[in-house]
Amino acid sequence: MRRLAAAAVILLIASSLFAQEVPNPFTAQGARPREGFFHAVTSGVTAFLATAMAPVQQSLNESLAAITRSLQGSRSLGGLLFVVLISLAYGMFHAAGPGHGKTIVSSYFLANNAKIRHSVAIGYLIAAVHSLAALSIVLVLYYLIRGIFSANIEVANHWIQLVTFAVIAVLGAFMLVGRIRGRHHHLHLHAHEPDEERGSAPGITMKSLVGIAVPAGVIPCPGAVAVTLFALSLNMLAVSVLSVVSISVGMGITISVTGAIVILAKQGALRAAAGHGERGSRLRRVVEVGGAALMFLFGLVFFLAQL
Amino acid sequence: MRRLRFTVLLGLLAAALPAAAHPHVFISNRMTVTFDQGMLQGIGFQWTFDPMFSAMILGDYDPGHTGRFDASRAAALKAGAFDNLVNYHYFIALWVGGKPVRKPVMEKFTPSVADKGRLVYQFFVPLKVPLATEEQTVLLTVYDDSYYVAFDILRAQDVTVQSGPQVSCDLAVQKTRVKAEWPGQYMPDQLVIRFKETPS
Repeated sequence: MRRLAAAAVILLIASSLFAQEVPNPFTAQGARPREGFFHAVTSGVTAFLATAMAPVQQSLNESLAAITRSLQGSRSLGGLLFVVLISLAYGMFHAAGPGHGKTIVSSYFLANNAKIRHSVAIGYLIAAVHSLAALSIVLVLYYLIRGIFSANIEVANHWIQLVTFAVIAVLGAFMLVGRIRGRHHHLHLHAHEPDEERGSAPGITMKSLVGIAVPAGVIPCPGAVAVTLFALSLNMLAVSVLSVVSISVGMGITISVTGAIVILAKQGALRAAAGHGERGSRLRRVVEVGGAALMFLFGLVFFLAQL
Repeated sequence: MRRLRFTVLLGLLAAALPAAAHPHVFISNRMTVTFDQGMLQGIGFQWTFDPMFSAMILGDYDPGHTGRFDASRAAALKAGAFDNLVNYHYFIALWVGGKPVRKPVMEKFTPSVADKGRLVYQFFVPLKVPLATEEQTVLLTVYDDSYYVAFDILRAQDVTVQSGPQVSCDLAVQKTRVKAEWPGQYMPDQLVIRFKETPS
């Protein structure tokens, strides 16, 4: 059973490494399909879900467009409610797909002493960060910068991702160094006080949660950009704000739930291993160092992919 | 123990989530198989886009909402929102007589606007396969394996055949049968075009 728990965590780590935001093949000049081993594994893993989810997303996309258009004539409360609900569902679905937000949050929670309330808090924070980021990027490109929106958004995305992944790699590197040092520290203490419940990781503060929510939420989801732009193209600023906020809340919910699952899995595995003496504390160290290493590697791999 | 089993299951579920689909552009694809002058001339494609991608591209290349593209606008659109697909082989994989067509050629690109502001791309992929009295086969998939673009489900009834009196052509949809490059590789459905010359 413990082996299964370990397998689940390893699978999470492996699959999140393949989570990627690819450019729009139509409008991102120079974009190419990804090739090689990573892509091969991703394709194999994602194909089934890809085909299963696409029709659902398509019908959400179509309904949202139809309702937004119908609101152009008359602003009914029911119609606005529909926009909110469908945007929410859209955001939840989109965040379930490959995206870096879940990976950062998961690896952060693996590396730290996280509680369920932290995953709830990070959901709110990501919703706020993503709303602000997606909205301001679309508004600036739409109203202030002249030119081809569909080309500019791809360029903007490229730079935002480059900077964000660099930040993630640096955060991960600091965390990794901290955990490896903490490990030695812990081992040293261990001789004096054999306290299995104490982790090597420090507690989570609101400040550190914000520090994670910003890189996890700042890259605008292409779906949110599409929805916002669609409402703007119909001259409906208020509706576009409403739907981008709802989408972001939906994303926050999915990321929050993923984070909670990771925390529960970690706690479950550690609890099962507790009472096995040295093995329990070793597992905790492996999970925590592994989480930090995951964040570092993830940031580095995707930073290099953006170059 | 039951609790642990539950958390393990949750962990596996979390592991599967990042692998879920992420399409952002949805395309309804219609095809026309054209025979003329004793040859399979090629295949025409008509892609109708979802409302949101349509709105973005039309906002950029038809800002006045005229619903029409003159030559210069069509050229700008082609350069900005189609030509890059050459890197993706236009999402088209073709096999003629069992041999893959490595780089499909595209011609006659024509953008237009259908009802309710939907962007439509039409283009033609020439094949020029001479007809013979024995049956020949062309296989075709239209699929984006980066998952950015989702095409609707391939159905034989969405494919039109334009042929003369001396051509017999059968269409079918089947699971792709080429050898997978890696275990578990996803194989999209394949359009099978079987055709031969029938003496009059």
